[in-house]
Amino acid sequence: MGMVMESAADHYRHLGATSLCSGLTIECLLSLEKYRATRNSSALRPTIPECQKFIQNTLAALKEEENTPYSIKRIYRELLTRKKVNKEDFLEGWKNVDEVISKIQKGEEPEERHIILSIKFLMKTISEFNDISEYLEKKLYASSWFTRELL
Amino acid sequence: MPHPGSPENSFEEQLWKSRIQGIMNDYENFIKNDLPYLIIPGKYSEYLKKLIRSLYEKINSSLDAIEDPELSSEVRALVLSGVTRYKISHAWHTILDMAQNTLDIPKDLYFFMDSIYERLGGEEVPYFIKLTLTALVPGTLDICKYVLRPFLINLRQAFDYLANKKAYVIFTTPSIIKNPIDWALLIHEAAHILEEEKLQIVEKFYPELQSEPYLGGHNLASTIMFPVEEAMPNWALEIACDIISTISCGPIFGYRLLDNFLQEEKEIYETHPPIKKRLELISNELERCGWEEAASDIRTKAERVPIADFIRKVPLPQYYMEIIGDVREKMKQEGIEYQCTPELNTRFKVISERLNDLKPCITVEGKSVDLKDLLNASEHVEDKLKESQEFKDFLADMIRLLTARDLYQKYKSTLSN
Repeated sequence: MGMVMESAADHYRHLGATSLCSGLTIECLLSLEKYRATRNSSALRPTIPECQKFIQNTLAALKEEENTPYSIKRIYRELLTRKKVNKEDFLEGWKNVDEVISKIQKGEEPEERHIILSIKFLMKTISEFNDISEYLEKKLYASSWFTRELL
Repeated sequence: MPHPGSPENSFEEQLWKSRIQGIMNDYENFIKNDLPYLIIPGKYSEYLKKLIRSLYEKINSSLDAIEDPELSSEVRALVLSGVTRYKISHAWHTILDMAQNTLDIPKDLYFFMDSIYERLGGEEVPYFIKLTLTALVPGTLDICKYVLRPFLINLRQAFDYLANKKAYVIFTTPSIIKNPIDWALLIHEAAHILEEEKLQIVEKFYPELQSEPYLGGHNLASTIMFPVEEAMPNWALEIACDIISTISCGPIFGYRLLDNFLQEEKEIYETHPPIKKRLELISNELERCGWEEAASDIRTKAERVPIADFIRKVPLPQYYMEIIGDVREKMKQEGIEYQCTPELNTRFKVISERLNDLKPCITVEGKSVDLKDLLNASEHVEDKLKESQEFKDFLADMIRLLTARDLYQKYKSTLSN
């Protein structure tokens, strides 16, 4: 096998992008879970505009639209290929989350069933992103100089 | 799913809380007991230490935000585990990695990089050189923007603190560090910083390279198949940095690239164009700058290595000619073109003869030797000598003396102004 033309910077960048995706998904979860507990639209965290942008990018990536940030496209490609997750489930899940957030913002009350489905979907998605992070982390630190703590 | 706002703290939740505490204790102990004594080379050593200390404070003060008692215990546990294991732990290990693996970098290499970056007309920007064993090719990125900030998005004070911070890290390998002639490969890394911070030529043509909001277009596909058009922004950026290196420093970059990385490629990478295509563009640029002999030499050597048909047929980025044109114009405006002249060729001969005899090359024939002249002349040293440790040490000494002289002259001119 020849030399792999990828630098540590590329691996770090990919890990960072994956972490950002899981972080924004966590932000969505925190907002929806808090709303579920309080039924108050102020439960939405200040990060909601970033989350919505992320959801739009995610939906565009899953629909394979042009002008989608490549990072998101690749992370999903990695999820779909490596983790064999179902693309349609992801599309439906994110659409549902998007609708729930939009309704809350408009002062409407989303159906409880939709909120619960969204929360479950977000929890599952966080785990999927974390699995990808773990894989990338192992690759990055495969021969690190220091003994890396593995939690 | 438990009732929202469940007050109980599950065992799992307690476990992750204690892990956060453990990590933060390690971080604090590192700041108190180790950081003050680390001798990190380079002029941004104190900046890095301050960044590490301040980030600890910011992470610590952001932790409450993820422990909302109104959330269900299940969600709290999931968020805590995710944030602990994949965010705080990643950030802490990255910081530790940065601090530890920047220690063994020769300070001469920092002088070299400072000198090269200044010659490229780059403005002050904090950077560090880090050793890596996990990759064979050097690379560069702003660790604050692309790594730490994404890790810490759920810890808002830390995330916001990093918004205006920069810390470029140049990842390099032990083999490059050991061989000063290969330091020329890092000219390309300095070009990456210059392009991102100042020129911003490539992102005009490929806006996806801009952070959006902090999800840049850069990435790597790893072993996953990817459409080749998605590689084009990265390839365009790499081509721009190759051309900047070639225009500013002459054939040495192309020679070192060839010597270290020319191989029969079996696959294409999303991060870099095929090596033979890069060498072809570098040769064309060398020719344009008057380095016909070096251009032909690099071309001939590259042709000896076969290229798979599917790689030969891979297109170059759509706007690569426009990008090269803009780079040329910018370099001309900045007055940093390094053109070949008959006098320069004669000078290389004199310098390389002295190098062959391990004779000092600070001043040759009454004229100060420029760092670029020294690097390019060193390519013409006899191959056997070039591989010897004596020559490598000697060349490192010469680089140190030349950069020290330049620094002294700069200091003197600052005083007189």
